[in-house]
Amino acid sequence: MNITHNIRVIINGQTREISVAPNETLQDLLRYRLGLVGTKSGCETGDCGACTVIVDGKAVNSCLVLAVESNGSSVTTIEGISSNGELHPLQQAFIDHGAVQCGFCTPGMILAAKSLLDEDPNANEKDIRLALAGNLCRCTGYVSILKAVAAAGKTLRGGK
Amino acid sequence: MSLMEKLDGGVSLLAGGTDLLVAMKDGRLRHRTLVDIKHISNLGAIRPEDAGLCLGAAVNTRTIARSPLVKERFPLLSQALAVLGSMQIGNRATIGGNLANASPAADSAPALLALEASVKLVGPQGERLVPLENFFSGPGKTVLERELLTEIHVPSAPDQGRGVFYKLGPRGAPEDICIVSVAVFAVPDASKRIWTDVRIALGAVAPTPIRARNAEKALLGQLIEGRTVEDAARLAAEKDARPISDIRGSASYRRAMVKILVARALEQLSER
Amino acid sequence: MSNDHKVIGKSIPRLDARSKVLGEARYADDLSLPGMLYVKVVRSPHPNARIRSIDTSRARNYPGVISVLTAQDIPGEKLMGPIIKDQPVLCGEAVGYVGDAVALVGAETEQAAEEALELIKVDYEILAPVLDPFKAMEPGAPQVHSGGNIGTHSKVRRGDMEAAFRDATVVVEKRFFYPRVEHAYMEPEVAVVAPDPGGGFTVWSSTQYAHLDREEVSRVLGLPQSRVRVHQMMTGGGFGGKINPHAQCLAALIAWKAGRPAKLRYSREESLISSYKCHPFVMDMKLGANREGKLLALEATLVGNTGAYLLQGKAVITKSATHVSGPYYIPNIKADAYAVFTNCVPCGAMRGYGVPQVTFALESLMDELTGRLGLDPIELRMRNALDTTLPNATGQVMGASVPIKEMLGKAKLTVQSLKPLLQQAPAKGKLRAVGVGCSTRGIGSIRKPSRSTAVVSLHPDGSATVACGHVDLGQGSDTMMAQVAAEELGVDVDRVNVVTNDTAISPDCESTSASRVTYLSGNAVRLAAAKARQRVLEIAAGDLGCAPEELRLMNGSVVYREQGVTLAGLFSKHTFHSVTSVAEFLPDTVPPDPETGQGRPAGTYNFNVHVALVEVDEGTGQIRILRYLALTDVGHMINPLIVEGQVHGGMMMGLGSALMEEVKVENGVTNTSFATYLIPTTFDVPQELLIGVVEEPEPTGPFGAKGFAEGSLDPVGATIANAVSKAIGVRVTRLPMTSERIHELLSQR
Repeated sequence: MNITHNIRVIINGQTREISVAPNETLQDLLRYRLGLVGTKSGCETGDCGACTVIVDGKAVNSCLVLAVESNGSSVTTIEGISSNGELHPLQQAFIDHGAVQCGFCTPGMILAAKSLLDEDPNANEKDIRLALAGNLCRCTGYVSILKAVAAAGKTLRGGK
Repeated sequence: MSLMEKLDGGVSLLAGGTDLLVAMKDGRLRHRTLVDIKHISNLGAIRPEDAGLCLGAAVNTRTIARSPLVKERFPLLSQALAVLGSMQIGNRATIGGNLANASPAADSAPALLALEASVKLVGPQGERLVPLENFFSGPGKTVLERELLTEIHVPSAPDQGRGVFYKLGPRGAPEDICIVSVAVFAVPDASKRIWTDVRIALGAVAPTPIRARNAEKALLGQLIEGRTVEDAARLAAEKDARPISDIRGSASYRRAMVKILVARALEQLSER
Repeated sequence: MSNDHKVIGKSIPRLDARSKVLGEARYADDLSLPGMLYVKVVRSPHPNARIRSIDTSRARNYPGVISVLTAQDIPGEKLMGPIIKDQPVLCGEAVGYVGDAVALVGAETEQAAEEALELIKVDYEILAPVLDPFKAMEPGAPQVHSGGNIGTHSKVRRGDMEAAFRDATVVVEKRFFYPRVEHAYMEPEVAVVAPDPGGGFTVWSSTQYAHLDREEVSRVLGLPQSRVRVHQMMTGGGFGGKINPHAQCLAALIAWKAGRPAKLRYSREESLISSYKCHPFVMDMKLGANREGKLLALEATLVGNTGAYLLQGKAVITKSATHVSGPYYIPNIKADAYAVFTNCVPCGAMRGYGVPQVTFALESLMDELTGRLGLDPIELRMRNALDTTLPNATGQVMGASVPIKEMLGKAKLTVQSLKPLLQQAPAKGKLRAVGVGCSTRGIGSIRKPSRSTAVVSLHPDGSATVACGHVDLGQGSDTMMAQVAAEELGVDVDRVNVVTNDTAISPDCESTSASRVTYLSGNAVRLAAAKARQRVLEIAAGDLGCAPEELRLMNGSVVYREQGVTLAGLFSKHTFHSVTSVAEFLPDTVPPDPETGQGRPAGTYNFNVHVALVEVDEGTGQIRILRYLALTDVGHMINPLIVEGQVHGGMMMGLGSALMEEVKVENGVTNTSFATYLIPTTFDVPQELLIGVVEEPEPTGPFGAKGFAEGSLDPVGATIANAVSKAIGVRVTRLPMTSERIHELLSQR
């Protein structure tokens, strides 16, 4: 099958017109065609959350989205949440709280947390646990990640 | 609808893709034509319908779970959909897809069965409304015949009715595929002494999600008390459930859990 | 021990954290080279079969396919492995488990490679497999290898066990089962290999032991080790599971054959099916004590199912046998531990390395004893705990840094503080109880002495480069090594660059495993840095006409009586570009005797005491952990933030094997995705997880530090099982404690 589709998608604020194969996932497009390798590939079945990106404000597993489906959408990856070297409060909180170890779950974890905090700035500990339940981490035991997200929420609410 | 006439074994309908893409990747589905149905108009809305609801088949489950309208009218449905999958899955998985995929463990099914929802199927020959209970025909099988599931209708329920959903997963995380799930919607009489309407639905204990009719019968018109609850829970486990053993649990554990969870749900609903 | 350290003991965020939160850190799969081929592996669908023939002709002609390889094409050694080299790189004659590698395809695209796989026809003569280790030990069982199915037998013999059991007032005995567990590193195996213009090869890989990648790739390609250079890329977790460079060797074969770069990345399913696991153990254990609760005798038979190949199985089994008596003094011990070959997925190293298994059995029996003796669990443990004068199972007396009694004292306070929660009436149908578990482990390899080497170069601007071969898998060891060097050299941590990930620069220090990095490489780095400093101070002292002891090194200057001489000036005057020193550290150890297990196998030991308050749902059998305390002994903390991270992670990994994780094998692995192999999520984190760090400096450790990364996992299964057993009134003898298993035990009451 050599059919391709032309899609128009805003990636990290930049409009791109790309020709994609019908079976190409958003994850593969980002990682292997656009070089946005901060998005990780951990299971390809939507069970680990490492490939989480934000599409039109919602966190999704990019391994379960076809690239062609993102036509007309706005996609945010880990490369798109800091500006000019200025870290997003979540990124800073992950560093400060020791929420990063091997780092493989980190981009997906941060983006899942970001979509939660964007949606609900007052998210409490229970909300955070629920929102991050689809992001597996084998290094940290999640404790410092939960703390980091709560702290970033506070910073974003201006409560620091 | 001309498209529907072309539907055959080589075409799959793509909604949220959270099940379909996994099947494509592990080789269960290959070289198919995919038709993306997410953007068909009218499939994407949640509408009040009298005192009930009409859910567009392409609405994602997390949107439904968080909808104030759904929370207000059918907290049971909201509760069930909140644990249908991870946040990322819930943001993609559609209510129509969860039903049409026809997993015996589909998390949306027991609540909708207990709420006596119907599904609207549209095909070249016209449209029909099928009670959800008659929609599933086996694991991964439905009565769909070159048709599209377009809407889910949840009828109004008596004001005094209340519902409970339990999902027993291996971990307790929302993305778990359940070992057993139970949804109960029950209506007491005005004095709160007698069950006037009880609907019990079970997931992952039969080839399809099912209503526990034997258990329901044992409760109808009976006193709300421990003995009737116990009888009904036993019937649900012994007469209604037909579980198999798989990697998540044995048939006997599933049966035992049906009894425990149905009893718990009824007890919770008996509290005045 | 000086307490005015500048960087030791400080919670410095890991040095690579910024690159990781920005998504800039580069992992092996992030790499793409011009002309790179994609490699896919044909794997056996049968647990036991002879290969009659392999027909690759159709695959060779498939569009996009560049190379197809089978065992006969391998130019060098055909067997590989981390310790025992018994796994075929590609199976030529026979396959030993479902997932064994049989043939390779290298193609222009991943899709072409994948499609070509199906065109390779392997003609198998299917043989009856043996999957159960006890059946494998029976006469007439199918032979996995020609030498018999017992791969290794480790022994411990101390005192007169039989006489001691006769003297015992109380004897408890049970059979325990510990599951086969998957490491579940978030990043699956991946390697990129490229031919060098000079005839060598460069490897970029996800690995726990870059130098083993070098060794195995060079053996398989028939090249000198010096011609292979390995770059460990940022590695997405290892936990013992990335010490067998199979993917590296397979990618190297295609790169060699095609003369082009080649990448092999395992899918998650491929990783779950084919990679080695933690050994499942069946343990018969018997423990005797006198009326006062003094332990007298221990007998244990430990059977580990090592699967089709031994890999590190021998070492895992030895570790389990030598740790059979835990942190207690037991004068009479007889233990026999076996690694048994079966046609299951191979087992090898995993965080814990045989210790969580024996800890589960021993600690469960300790609790059984408390019931029989009417003693408090902590009191019984206190009466038998090791101290600096008592020998462990190997006869080793530790001499220092044995804080187990202090830890038990703290645990006792915690147990008391949990009383109100315990007495508070739980919801209907909920059972609550508190459990305790203890463990100990020798730090580093115990099967043979192992050396660490570090090279420290002090540059004229005061910055320093540290080269040492223990790669960082995410645990933060590079940051700790930088702290050690920075402390010795009087510079800020960010002025130190630690290079552990390049075999052309970093000396081989054995794998990052066995909780050894802090202790072994920490010492080597410290010694090398001190040597460089000393050399500089001696040169400066010569110039200044004073003693080196009167000088200090600080921020790139030698300071003498508040006056500074810059290193730049000093180096230039004495024709140095940088000052480089090498140092080694080899702990004073004696491996266990093969007949008795007696020796002095570890340079130092780590201790752990855990306490759990659990709530069991009497109806469903579900377990919730309401409170958890993990007390750990680290000697002296180099970086509290990193210590905390390791303890949290180890505890939650232990919780996984305690409650939900088990790799199931029916011919092959049946949990082939993270939807069926379940690991803990945010939902499983206990409501309150507390960490207590006990610091009793280890005299032979760098700044008093010792290893601890596995220790936080060791007693978790035992601790939770003890709490659950108490709550339900039935002894748990099998992990994981799934709700179904607990429900079954509840119905036995």
